[in-house]
Amino acid sequence: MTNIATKGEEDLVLKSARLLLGFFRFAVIFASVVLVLSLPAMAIFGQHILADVGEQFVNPPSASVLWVSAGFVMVLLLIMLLCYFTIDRLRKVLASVREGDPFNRTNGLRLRGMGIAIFVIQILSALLGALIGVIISLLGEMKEGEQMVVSGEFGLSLSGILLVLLLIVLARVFDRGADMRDELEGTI
Amino acid sequence: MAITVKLDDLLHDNRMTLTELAERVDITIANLSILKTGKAKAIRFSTLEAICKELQCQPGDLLTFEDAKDNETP
Repeated sequence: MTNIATKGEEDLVLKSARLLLGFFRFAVIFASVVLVLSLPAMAIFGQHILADVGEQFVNPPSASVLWVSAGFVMVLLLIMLLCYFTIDRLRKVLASVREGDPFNRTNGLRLRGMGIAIFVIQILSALLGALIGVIISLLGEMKEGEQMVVSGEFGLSLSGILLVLLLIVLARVFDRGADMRDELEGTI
Repeated sequence: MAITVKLDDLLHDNRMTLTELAERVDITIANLSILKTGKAKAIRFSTLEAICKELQCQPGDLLTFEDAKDNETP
């Protein structure tokens, strides 16, 4: 038999989700701070970085690499802010489940907001991929024996699009749930 | 609303107060008051049954339908 948490109580799933979201929130804040600090660092130590990186390439890279890299960091920062927005909304939805009143219009709005945020993250992720391509082409050919590894997946993903759809549909489900609750409240 | 609740008339006919009825049918006065004033959106069969049993009436005595067009002046 499945145990569903009643008002004020938390089952293992809710508790784990709350703890995980708390950790993700901290990680996103930490990453955002690092990214914000990296922007002035790039401005101050940009020439040194370029000189160091330039040793691995046939032709010394131009200063435009720094500008594109700064754009890359800013897009990444925007993604982090959207991640924070999504995590924060999910924490609030989770809190409403704990309080015993999840089927309300506010949660519908939150889920819709999360769906839009993740959609924007998908678009920005594709932009990151394009920026990496620009940086690699600006750096040019590498010296013999040197190797550069770029890891990570950028761009639109099927799972991301499915997640956006899931959230938008769930938002409608919560709206309908709120309507049904209103109807039930007026039943004698 | 086109459906009118005649709880007031039935209570008067049975010489019963809303508080007494609330105690007998085990429904809060607040909810019965919502029903009486026509603010309720729906009524459960169990509630209807309990009220009809206590007030010795038929559901049709408690609820009446008035077509909005009938009330319009020509």
